[in-house]
Amino acid sequence: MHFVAPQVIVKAVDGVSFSIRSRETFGLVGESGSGKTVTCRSILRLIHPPGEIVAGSIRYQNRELQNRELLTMPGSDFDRIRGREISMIFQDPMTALNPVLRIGNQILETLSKDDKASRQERTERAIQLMKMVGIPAPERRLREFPHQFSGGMRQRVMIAIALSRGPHLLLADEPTTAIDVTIQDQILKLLMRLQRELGMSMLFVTHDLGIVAQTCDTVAVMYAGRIVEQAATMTLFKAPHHPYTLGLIASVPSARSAGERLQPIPGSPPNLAHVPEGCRFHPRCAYASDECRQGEFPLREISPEHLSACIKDVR
Amino acid sequence: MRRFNYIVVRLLQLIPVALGITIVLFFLIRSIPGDPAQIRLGIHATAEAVANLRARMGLDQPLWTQYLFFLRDLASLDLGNSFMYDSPVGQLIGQRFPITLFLVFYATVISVVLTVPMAIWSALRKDRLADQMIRGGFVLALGMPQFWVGILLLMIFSVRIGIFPVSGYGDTFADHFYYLFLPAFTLGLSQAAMLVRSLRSDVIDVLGADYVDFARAKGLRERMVLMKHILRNALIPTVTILGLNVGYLVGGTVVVERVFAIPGMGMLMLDAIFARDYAVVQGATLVFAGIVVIINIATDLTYSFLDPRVTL
Amino acid sequence: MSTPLVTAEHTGLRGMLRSASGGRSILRRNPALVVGGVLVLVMGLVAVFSNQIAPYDPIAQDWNNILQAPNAQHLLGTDNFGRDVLSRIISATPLDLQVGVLSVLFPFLIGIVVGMLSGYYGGIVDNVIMRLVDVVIAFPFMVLIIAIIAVMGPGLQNAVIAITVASWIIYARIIRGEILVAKNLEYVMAAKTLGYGNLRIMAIHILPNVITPAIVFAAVDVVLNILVASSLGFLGLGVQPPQAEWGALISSGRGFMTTGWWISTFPGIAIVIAGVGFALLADGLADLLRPGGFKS
Repeated sequence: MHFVAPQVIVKAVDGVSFSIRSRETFGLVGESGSGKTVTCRSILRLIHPPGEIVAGSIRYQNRELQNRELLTMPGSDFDRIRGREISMIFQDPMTALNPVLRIGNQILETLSKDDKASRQERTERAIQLMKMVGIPAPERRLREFPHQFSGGMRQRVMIAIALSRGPHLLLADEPTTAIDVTIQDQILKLLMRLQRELGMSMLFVTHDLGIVAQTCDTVAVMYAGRIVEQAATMTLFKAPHHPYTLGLIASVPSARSAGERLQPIPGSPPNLAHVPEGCRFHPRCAYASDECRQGEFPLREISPEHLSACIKDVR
Repeated sequence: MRRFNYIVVRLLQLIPVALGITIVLFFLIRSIPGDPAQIRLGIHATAEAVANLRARMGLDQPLWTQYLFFLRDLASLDLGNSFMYDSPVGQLIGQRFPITLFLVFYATVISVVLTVPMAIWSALRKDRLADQMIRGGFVLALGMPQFWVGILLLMIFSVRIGIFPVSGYGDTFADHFYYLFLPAFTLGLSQAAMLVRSLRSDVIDVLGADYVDFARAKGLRERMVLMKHILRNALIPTVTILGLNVGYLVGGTVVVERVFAIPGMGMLMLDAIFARDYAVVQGATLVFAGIVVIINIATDLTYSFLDPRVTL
Repeated sequence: MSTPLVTAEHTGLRGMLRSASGGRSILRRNPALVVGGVLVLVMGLVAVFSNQIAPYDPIAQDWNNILQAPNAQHLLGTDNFGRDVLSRIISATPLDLQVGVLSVLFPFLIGIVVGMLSGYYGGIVDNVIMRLVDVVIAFPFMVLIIAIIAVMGPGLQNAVIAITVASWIIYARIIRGEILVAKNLEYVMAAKTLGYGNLRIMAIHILPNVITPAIVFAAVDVVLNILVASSLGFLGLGVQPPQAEWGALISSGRGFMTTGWWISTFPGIAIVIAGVGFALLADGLADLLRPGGFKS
């Protein structure tokens, strides 16, 4: 029998605001628990109770749909957004495919919604999709179950399903984190090629700055449920402004820094039930002073198209 | 072919269990004080018949030889004679067995019909009022003895309102459904009380699974997500629990048959116990164990159909 | 610069985290434990002081007051011999609780020892024990108990023995499963490296870490055993008259469905109260003993 337990309300994401342009790859980077996955999932309303979206706005537009608000859209309309306008691939290909349904079934179940195509035509389309993501012998593999696929192949299947209805925006939640390092690069290249060919936009969530540098046009760095810095990828790597971004870059091994000691950021991210007063990063920040402990620090434009939440100029 | 191998291996695994069951039964009845031949034939048997059987059972031989004789009789489907009914035990069981089997399947269907929607509703409304009510209700049902529930149902629906018969099981197949509804409901309810808890937590696990969110993300309607992705995956553990609990359900038929005066195997066994007709007790116990073993194999097979990952 | 395809603005996305701290009362934190504990405690007290509490002599027949519906004198009515139903229920309490608890104790101990041996040594020991478990499980629970009682004869002691034979396997399975996991954990490896004997490792290092699920099941098992004990009483295979027993009380009212519904109904409610008490206690224990503390 259940009785209500004492609860603490946690704001997983607070005051996060960004825009993704057409055909752009937008990176959302941060440590685990920084709110990047929650942000990504909330766009498709995939937040589980007891979590809930209490306020905010997500606007979407393309040629047919002018500036639609996604958060308050009725469920029946939202079904038309999911998969067809905005689609998503998940972190773990082992768990994101239904283990008891054949791969073909999982690809076809959404295709049947859009057109009145015959069974034959739809199967053709599924085979074509599997070829597109580079799965060999698609005719045979359509009849197999997920556990008969390797991790990399499952990730390809997931991409094929996510792209099956031609979405304009793909949300990629750490798409390479859970697969073998040797396969990661193949998947990244596949995603970048498909984005280019299909003319999609992409929201790329990752904790790996190396992947960001490789794939993204624009990056937002998240810390403790907030965006602390946002800029074009080149700008961010060449001229990072926020001490947290500096720390992240210093802690990544790169060709340039080979031989140097890696600098981990001291401390650990705050418990979101008890965020520190003032700048959320100040307890871990080498440059923190008294003023950092007071007040809210919104993003400000430090140069055109470059936003930072740090009030100092630490460079 | 793979499934065929699976069945063969499962049947092979059955051999030690089947032997174990016969050993338990052999020694159980042997531990009754008195002459086994006399026990098997009953107290009214003639001295000559007893002497004949003594020789045939090899009672002067070592115990393991006697056990082999017992197995030989079993193999030829000879379960001995009932003195109470003055007929072979196998024949008696043959008459009673279908009634009990019908009751078991009927009760299983009712327990699934009660469990699945309730557990899903409870899981979808986790921690809300509906969930608390369902869980509370089934904790209550868990504490209710079957025979008491049966008597209450009889008092209310058969005696007071009079919409169900007080006893018996009807003549035609359709009649069975009507006559055996209250008994099957009694059994199904206590079974459901054990199932709802675990199915609810299984559904909650499935609800949080990535593949459910992925199904939503690709634009599947909520009803389809529920029917195709959630229900199907939640049914797999349900089948397993059903299989694990089948012994409890089958055992319950003994009590429920007594309450509703249904002439099934349980009734046969109880009457035999009070009449000290041990050949019948032994035979009935053997068949009861057989029902459980066979249902368990059926469960495993169903499981292998539902979950493609199952291999040996 | 092209127009944005997507603009997202989150001013508040929140999740709830449950916190185990907070210094709230135990009633708020684990109400199942408290409510279940109180119910079981009250039942226990009724059992211990049954002679003092019962308003009437449970076996005294009163031919002027047969089949009285519940009233001020007889709160739960009287039976066909004019005996007070409430007093009979109270006088049966110690017996049913005794069977319920005793027939958990022995299977618990046997199952833990056998399960530990099976899980720890593995190999042939494990194989033999597990085949034995398979055999016992093949018999429907109630059928095996009834068959044993048919051979041994009815009564309190034999009921406990029969239930023990039928239910030790569950504890053995639970403990075996836990040990299979635990024996490869580091602290056990460490103890082995230090050269401790198997018995010492099992009793001191493994057992305290694996016993929780068995304890939780034991509380649920009391419920099942009370149901079994009363079912045996109902079938006439349990405790014999003139001793009052809940199941037998219910059975005695079967002939009076139209004239005395209370005779069968109220003893059943006593069973339900005891059952719910132990079921809640099991839930509460599961919560309390689970590391980290809170259920999903």
